[in-house]
Amino acid sequence: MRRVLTLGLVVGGFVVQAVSYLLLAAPLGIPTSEAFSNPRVPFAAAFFVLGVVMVFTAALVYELLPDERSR
Amino acid sequence: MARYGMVIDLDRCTGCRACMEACKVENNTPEATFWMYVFRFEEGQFPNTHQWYLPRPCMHCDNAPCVKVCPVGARFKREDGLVATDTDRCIGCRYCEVACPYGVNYFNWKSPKKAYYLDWNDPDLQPVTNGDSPPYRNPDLDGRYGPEGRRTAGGGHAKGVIEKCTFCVHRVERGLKPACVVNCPLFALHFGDLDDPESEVSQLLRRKPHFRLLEEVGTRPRVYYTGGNPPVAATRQIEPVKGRV
Amino acid sequence: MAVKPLTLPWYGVGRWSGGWYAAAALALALVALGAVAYSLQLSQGEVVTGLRNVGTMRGATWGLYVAFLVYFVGVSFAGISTAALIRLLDLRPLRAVARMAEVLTVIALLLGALSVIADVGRPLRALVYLPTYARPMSPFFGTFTLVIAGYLYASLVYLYLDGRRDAALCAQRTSGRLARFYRLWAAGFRDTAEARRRHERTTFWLSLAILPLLVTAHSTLGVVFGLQGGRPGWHSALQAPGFVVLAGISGVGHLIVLAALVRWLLDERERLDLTVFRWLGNILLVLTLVYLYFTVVELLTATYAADEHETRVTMAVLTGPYAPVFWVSAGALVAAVALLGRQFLTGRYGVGLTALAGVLVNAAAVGKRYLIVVPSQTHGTLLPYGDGAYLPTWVELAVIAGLLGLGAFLFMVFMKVFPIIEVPEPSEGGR
Repeated sequence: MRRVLTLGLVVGGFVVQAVSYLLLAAPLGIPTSEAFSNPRVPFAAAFFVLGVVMVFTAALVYELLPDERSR
Repeated sequence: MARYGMVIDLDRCTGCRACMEACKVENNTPEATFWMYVFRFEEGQFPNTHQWYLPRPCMHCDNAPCVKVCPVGARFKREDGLVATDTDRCIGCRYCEVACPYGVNYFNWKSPKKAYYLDWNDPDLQPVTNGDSPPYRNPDLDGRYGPEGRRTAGGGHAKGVIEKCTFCVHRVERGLKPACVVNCPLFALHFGDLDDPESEVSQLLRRKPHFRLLEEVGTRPRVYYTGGNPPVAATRQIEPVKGRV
Repeated sequence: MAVKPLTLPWYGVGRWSGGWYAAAALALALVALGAVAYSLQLSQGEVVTGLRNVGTMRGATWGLYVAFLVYFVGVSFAGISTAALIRLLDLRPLRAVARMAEVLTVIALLLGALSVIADVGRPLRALVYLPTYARPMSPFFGTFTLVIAGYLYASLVYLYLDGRRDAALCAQRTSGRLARFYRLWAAGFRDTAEARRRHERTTFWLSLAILPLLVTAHSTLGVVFGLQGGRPGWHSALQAPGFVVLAGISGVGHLIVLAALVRWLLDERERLDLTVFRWLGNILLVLTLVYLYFTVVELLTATYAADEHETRVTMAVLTGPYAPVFWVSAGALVAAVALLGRQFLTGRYGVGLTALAGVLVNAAAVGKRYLIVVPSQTHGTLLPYGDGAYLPTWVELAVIAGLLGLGAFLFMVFMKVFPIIEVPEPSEGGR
């Protein structure tokens, strides 16, 4: 369970980062219209930070969560 | 969709700076802020000097570095080509200012109301100003323009945000031309739709050789110059601007 | 808070002295000065600083605040990377400075974030709009998300996990409110072999993950400058690597000074022995040599064949108004290399001289950050506006002093609340 959660957080965190960076935030490229200056979804940057936080929270989970066996 | 651009005829410009004044009155810019600026250049050594003049509005570049670097998207490119500043979203980081190769951005180091040339709130001036600061305050500046409906004509400019030439978006949206273009006594400035083959600007570009400033930087500016040459290493201003805030 | 007598050293925790109070008062006085200056800036606008518009106003719009932003983020680099390298390369001799390094990183990042807030014209808007609207195309996106948000969190996680064991030990030795704080930190830590193994594994992978984040984060700060085609002197591929190396230099230098201070204050000659300073000194030597190499290559390129605008900036730095800052900084770097090199070649190391080298490289780092930020704005305009000038006012100096005071105060408070050196294993023969 602990390992699953840790791995899930790491992978999920990177997925959230990639999705927010590429799909949710303002598009990359030479700006030709207002669309390049607004995020497609508001708070996309906050999601990106959440993704980074998720990846490093995996470390907390891995170390702090008790193993079922040791109970 | 129109593709706005400007053509400046350097053969006609005499450096009178009426365009600078017109811009100031139209856009109520505070002290030492020159959305439109005219260089007065000199080359050579006295008595063999050559003087010439270069009006410098914002270039409204197609590959605008200021738009690319704005962290919050307050500086954006409209589809008709104008590079606009939403002073309601600007956080005042001044990245656009350092990124611009042309130096057209002006940051409000203090409240604009405190930065006008006269203290319009002086009690002696109240009968004249009716409490407006400045008395020639243009109410159009507060409006929202464009399909995006953002305040891009300079309204909302306050201490701590940046501003620059807007190509008089509040006039352009009504089918008028920018204040500098309309006020030039020698018709040296031209504004129009570059995609319209019959517009003034397109005809000028077809007829005369032209250049753009700092093309090598790759910004693809929308302001073309005819009738002259770009500044070179030996070009220097006759007198630098003394105005500081 | 009742403190029971110990068998392990207490590392200054709970030992309040007149000297500490005096130092803390001085630090807080600086913070107060900075707060006063900043409130003046908030009410009157940034006109109270020496910053002015680039172009017709012939000023510099990014000055001391941005230079120190880059400096603080640079210092934060070495903190966690030292801790990470200790774990990854099993550099046992450096274990004693790991906690100091982690705390240095967290505090430095905090100061970096505050420098940004001090610089922007609308700080409250920045705090709200950056998470809402930040655009990936802007290099500041990386600074905001990876450096200030992501890196800070990663460092806090590292500091937290690495401190659990010591927190458990401290909890056993005190009672009252502080004991609750220690127990919260320890989060049920039991010093078993299994827990130890799990911790080793966690910190190993955490270190492995933090290092690429570090390099990316510092590179995004470098490309804030390096990608600007309109700024001669900035537009260079060497900015990002140069930033990373100078970050390492200022960070390791800072760490050396901190270690020397802690060694002197806590009289920890055994834990913070000469081996620690030998290692750190040699790492600093290598990094400084690499940076001098970068500087030489940059200068060579700029003076051999550069366009007129870059040449103008280079000349302003080498012989013009910025020459004193440049030559003093370069001199400090060369002096540091000489000191550290002599130690390396003769094999005779000294704490004092290594710490001096640390001070020298940090002074040079501040100067170099200033030289990266300012001359390109006053002397590097692509249109002939004329040469400009920038002189920081007392407001900017006071805000920076306030930030430094805050950093010092936070470090001092941490030292009083938590062991600044890892409590040694019983097998390591702690006193």
